[in-house]
Formats: sequence, structure tokens, C-alpha cells
Amino acid sequence: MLSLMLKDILLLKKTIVFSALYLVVMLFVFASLDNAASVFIICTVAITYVLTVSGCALDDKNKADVILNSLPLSRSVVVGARYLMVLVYVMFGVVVYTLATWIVGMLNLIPNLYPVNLEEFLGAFLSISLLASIYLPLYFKFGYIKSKIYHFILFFGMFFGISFLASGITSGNPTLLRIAAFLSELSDGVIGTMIAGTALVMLAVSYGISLRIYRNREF
Amino acid sequence: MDKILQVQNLTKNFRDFKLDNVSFSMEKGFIMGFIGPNGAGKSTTIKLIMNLLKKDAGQVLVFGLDNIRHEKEIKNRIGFVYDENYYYEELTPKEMGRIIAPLYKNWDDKAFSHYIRRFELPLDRKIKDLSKGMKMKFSLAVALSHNAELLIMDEPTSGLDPIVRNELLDILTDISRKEDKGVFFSTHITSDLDKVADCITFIHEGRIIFSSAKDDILENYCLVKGARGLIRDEDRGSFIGIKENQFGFEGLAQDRKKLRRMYGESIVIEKPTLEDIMLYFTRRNRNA
Repeated sequence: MLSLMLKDILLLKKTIVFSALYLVVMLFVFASLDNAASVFIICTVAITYVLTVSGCALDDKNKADVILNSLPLSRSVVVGARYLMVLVYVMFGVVVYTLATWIVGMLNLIPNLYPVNLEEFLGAFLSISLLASIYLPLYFKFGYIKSKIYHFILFFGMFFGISFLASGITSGNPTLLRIAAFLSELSDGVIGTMIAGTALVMLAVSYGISLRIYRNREF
Repeated sequence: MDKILQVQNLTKNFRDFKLDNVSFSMEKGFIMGFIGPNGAGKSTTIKLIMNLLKKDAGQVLVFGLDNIRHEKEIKNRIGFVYDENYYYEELTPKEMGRIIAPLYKNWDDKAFSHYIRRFELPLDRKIKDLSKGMKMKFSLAVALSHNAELLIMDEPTSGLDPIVRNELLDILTDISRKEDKGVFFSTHITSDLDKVADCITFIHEGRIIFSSAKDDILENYCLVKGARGLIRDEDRGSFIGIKENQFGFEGLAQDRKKLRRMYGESIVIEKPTLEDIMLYFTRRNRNA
């Protein structure tokens, strides 16, 4: 498992460095905007998703499944490594964001910096879990090239969906308002547990579907 | 003798091709050549042995173990070299070695370094920048660095220049002779096998034509030559295949004594090469 994770890191080392720089640049871009607090969620989701899809693209380009399935590796490990890398990339986003805000703060370059809090971390984790849980089974079924169209729809659908939900709440959609009211009555701890639990259940179900698909694949 | 590889009634159906009840076996310490024209089913058989394709029927035993139930254990003891490079082109041999090493129980860093030096492979150059010969040597270095007991190679010599091809064949001979390991080697370049193989399995149109010791095969078949019009129509059945031109005929047959009795000194009987045998069998099926 660790070998496959190392493989992705070595393959994507340039993209990883670029992602860290992208996050720092976005700190400055968002500093002048009203929604500066959401920079962490947007960057972490974007970085994690781009790195996950790039890793899949390189596996597909190199027809790596032939080698991976000729090595003493079970198919559950090949699939599992893809899912674990999603968690690694989220943690990478947290570490880079924390370091960047710390350094930029020390240098006093941006007046209002928003350190990562649990709420934002869970928001990012839930969003990326949803994206990965839908994308990865499609990738394991169709490969990178054929799943490209779904990936495109998914990525833009996610942003459209979030703004649709937000406008639904502000325009007074009764169902959404009821859900929002129900959630507002719960304690932060319960909501946090619900979000983390939902994200993990989505990933676990998605892993099960991907594994079932991958076990039946031929190379 | 220990059977290192047993394939029994292996069947796989595709829309336009069928691997049909393929059976053969191979013993330790031997190099088995797996020959057949393009599209005969060589790669399909190898992919089924490696569980890259799902079989429809039959069984594959490697080291006496079922290749699906004991997949991980078997793959720990197998080295593979494929007809093209499937390693990550963006990585270097050194990085690829770092990734693969922990996956094998018996990975031997010293052996890996030894083969990298022996094959003069640049450790820090990206795999995409290596020549085809170097890529194949890198695959071979990986295959030889974890004490594999069986090497499975799918057309490893195709597209290689004669120098690299000969080097590879020398290495294979060393491996099978010194270390009591098995090599299963598919190719359509039969001259490679004339040099190194101990036994030959011939597949054509998804069926095994024969599987036996190379010397027996070369002894059992004979190449018959003679003047044009010499062969009587009723004797054509004694030949596996006949090729005729304006000067005479040449054919592959099995019963040399019978032919000698029938035609005496008017025919010349020679020992065929593997290529002759493959060509005549292929032609017979095409004419059928």
C-alpha cells in the first residue's frame, strides 16, 4: 500500500509543488474578496481533486494496471491506495495552508488571515469525499479517458450544486430551511461527527463499489 | 520431475477468437518456448496465467498452486517481462526500483544493483528516455532481482536488435542452467528458440498443436524435397504441408521411413527448423 502511495507522490511531485504555490497565490487573490474565509475549502478541494485525477490519468496513460496486477499485490490494495491518497492530499492541503498562513502572517503581508478550523476542515473533507466517491468508481469502470466527461460534469456540478443550495436557503426553500433549522439545533460536536461519518461512509461504500468493479476488470 | 507450470484445458472466449482447451506443462530447470504466429493466443495464454484475464474454463497451476487462489504467493515467485514497457515512463529506474522493492518478499537490492550495472542502465534517466532494448533490460533486471523461480516472458525479443537479443538469450540460458529455474518464453521469432529452448509448445488459432522436447520435435518431423511432379496425389496426405514451385516441391512430414520406402533416393530428407515446422502447420490450417 505504502509503495503505491509513494508511487503517486513520485509521479506527481511537480504537480504537488505547483499545488502548494497555487494555494499561496490563492491566499492573496482571496484576501481582497468578501469570502476570504472559504479559501481553505476551495483550495483543498481543488488540490485534492486535481491530484487524484492526475494520478488516475498517469496510471491510465502508462497502462499501469498490467504491471500492478502482475506484481504481488491484491486488487483491494490497488483500489485502497487510490482512496487513501485522497486522505493524504486533504492532509497535505491542511499542512500547506497552515504553513502558508503562518508565514504570510509573520511577514504581515495580508491583514485578515483565516486559520483552518474544524468546521472548514470538515466542509472540505465532506466535499472532496463526495467528489472522490463518485469519480473513483467511474474511473475504475471506464478508465481515465472514458471517465473524463463524468469528471468534467462532476467538478463543475459540485460548484453549481453548492451555489444552488446556498441560494435555495437564502430564497427560503422550505425543505432546505427545515434541514438548516434542524442542524442549527444540534451541537457542533454532533454536526461534526455527522459530517465526518457521512464522508467516511460515502468513501467506504464507494470503495466497495470500485473494488467490485476492479475485481471483474481484464487487462 | 517437479512441474513448475501446468495449464489444463484452459478456455477463454472472445467475440472473434477462442482459446480452446489449452493444456501443457513445464518442468523446473527448463526453458520452454511458446511459439505461434501473431494472433495465435500466446499473449492471451500468458495473461490468463498472470490472472490479467478471467478464464472461462480450465485450470492453471504454478508451483502446484492454483493461480487465482494463491495469486499473491505465486506472483512473489514469478518474474515477468512483457512485449512492451508498462513501467511508469515518467519515473527513473531508481525510483521504480524503490517502489517495487517492498512489494516482493525476497527482493534482493544487491542483485538489482548487479543487473543494473551489468545491463549498463542509467539509474537517473527517465524510463521514457531509455531505448527499447534498455527498457526490456530494465524489466529483466526487476524480474531477476527477487529470486524468481519462474520467468514468464511475452515476446521479450520482438523489436530488439540482434546484439541485445543474443545478450538476453545468453542470460536466459545462464538462469535456467545454473539456478534450476524455469523460463516460459513466448515468441514468433523461432530462431531464438533454436538456440536456447529445451521444449516447445506450439499454439495455432487458439489450440495447442504440440508440446514436447525440442529435440524430439526436430527428430519427429522431416523436411522432404524433390522434383516437381514427383509426389503422387494419393501421397499428399502423408505431408503436413507441401510447398511447390516451378523447380520442385518441399514439404513437412512425420514418417520419414515410409517416404523413403515410397520414393527411394529421388527425395532429399533434411532436419527442419522450428520455423519450418511452424510455417507448414500454419499453412496446412490455412489451406484446410
